[in-house]
Amino acid sequence: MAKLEPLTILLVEDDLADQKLIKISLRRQKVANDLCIVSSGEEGMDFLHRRGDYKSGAPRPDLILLDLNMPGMGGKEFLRRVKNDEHLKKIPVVILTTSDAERDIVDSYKLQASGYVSKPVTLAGFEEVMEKIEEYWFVLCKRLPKEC
Amino acid sequence: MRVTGARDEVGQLSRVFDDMTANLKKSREELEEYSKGLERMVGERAAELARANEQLQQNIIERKKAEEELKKVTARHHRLMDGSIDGVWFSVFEESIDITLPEAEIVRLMGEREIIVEANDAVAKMYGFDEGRQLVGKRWTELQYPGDNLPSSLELVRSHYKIDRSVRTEKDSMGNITYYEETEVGNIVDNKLVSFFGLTRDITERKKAEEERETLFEELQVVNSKLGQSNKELQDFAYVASHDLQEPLRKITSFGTLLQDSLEGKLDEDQQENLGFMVDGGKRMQTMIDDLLTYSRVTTRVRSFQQVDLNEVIEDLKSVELATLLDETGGCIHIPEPLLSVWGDSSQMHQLLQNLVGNGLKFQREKIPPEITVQTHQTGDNMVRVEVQDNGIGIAEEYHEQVFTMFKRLHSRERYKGTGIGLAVCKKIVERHTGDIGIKSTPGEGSTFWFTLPREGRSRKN
Repeated sequence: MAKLEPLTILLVEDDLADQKLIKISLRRQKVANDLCIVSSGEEGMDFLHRRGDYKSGAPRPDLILLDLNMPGMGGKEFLRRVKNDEHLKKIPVVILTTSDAERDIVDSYKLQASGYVSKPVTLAGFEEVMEKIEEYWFVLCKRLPKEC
Repeated sequence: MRVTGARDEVGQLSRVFDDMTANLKKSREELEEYSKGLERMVGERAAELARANEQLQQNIIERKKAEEELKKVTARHHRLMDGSIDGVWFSVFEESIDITLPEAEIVRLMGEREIIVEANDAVAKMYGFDEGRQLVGKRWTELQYPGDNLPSSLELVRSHYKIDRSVRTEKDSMGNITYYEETEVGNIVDNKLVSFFGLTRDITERKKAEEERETLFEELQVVNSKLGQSNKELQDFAYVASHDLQEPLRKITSFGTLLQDSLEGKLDEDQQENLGFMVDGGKRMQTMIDDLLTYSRVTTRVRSFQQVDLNEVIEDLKSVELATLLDETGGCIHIPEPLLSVWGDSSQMHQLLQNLVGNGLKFQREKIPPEITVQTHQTGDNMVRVEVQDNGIGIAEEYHEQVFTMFKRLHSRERYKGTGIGLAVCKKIVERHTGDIGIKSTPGEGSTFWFTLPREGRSRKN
């Protein structure tokens, strides 16, 4: 029986507390995962392009969880750059943010986000959301082959 | 001896006499005859005369009638003329003008020959006179001031002798402008211009009112846009308040919960209780902020009004939003007669009924399955009154007004869930639709929540 490879999820989130909450919620899930966390859009770009701090290498993520509300290069700018890049645009990006403003939702989908989730208010809520994300993206959906 | 001679003479004489007598008789007979004939003729003539006389009498009566009629019509005409605030006038041409003549010729002749034959006081006043009579016999050229832009003769000719409600102005010596609406119609018979009749209406008041309306309209636009701006600011504030406040709150409750979990068994009862109070407080605050956002959105997140079918709304609530609650409580919703439609914000109608019906299900009497009845009827002033009746715990009269206050709860949180914003939201929605809301209730016997909404919209943009 083939061994299921762990998923690589790249979390782009500047808030330390939220980073921890998401990490804890994912840890409690059944699907094995490698959670990589970057604290800014710029760092995220370095990660994906395997440069700067990540010159020595970084795994290609199966899914990117992206916060919109970040200083410097904001979430939308990061999303635009990823979707404009020939090699990176295939990676599904799910927005995970505090905002539920229509403007943000519309802009995100226009920039080709694959999903938009509002950050839950409770820990239980977070766990439930993470479970559903995993179930959808890694149980239901087919994964992009690793070599792409 | 001549005896016969004398006898012959007498005889002759008597013969002559006889002849004469016979002639006389004949003459008399002829005279009688003639006389009779004459009498007959006289008789006939008399009869003819009598008939002619009768006819004349008849004619006189008819003419009198016609005169009466004419008097009436004339009187009516004068009443119309006198009573009219608008200027009315009639003019004739001393000699009618051939309209196939060249333009310039017609214009000249119009100037020479036109005379006013009738005008009412309103016209007279426009020219500085008191009574219409004073204008009779005058020509327009005698009356008009230079600078008046009433229709010119040339204009009349070119418009085929008919001008309908054309707006003109007149400026007086002090620069005040008067606006007139001028109508003039020429009477043409066999290609000859015979007369004119005209109507002049002073529309200065109207023009002023139109200008004022324009100004008011512009002011309204300004107020409207300011309102839109203030609304947006309010919305931004509500949004910012709720979201930015939720951020740190989320940290408190999430990490509070994590602490509770990780410290399970390591804290004494007292410490556990303290931690519990803290986390619960945080959670409650989150809900209240959410509720505040919902409440403020009633007026900031507005959608245009439309015809809303309340039967559909109830069906939706039954199958979606209230499905679980109906199931859990074993309750049901009765609609004895199809509900009337209302004019309003569709999603707010959902919110309104969801809150009221949901309350009816929630506040049930112990062990008695909740039964909700929804009815509507039209009220006099084109509104619809909706009644949501339940068989729940009821509400004491002293609280009938308070319950609509924000965050007002009548029971403890353990007994019935909810922050107490539902009814405040309902009240705000109803008021936004220019309606009213109220309760009829007896504790232990259930409550009837009633509210009024508009039946139909007015046909103008909302």
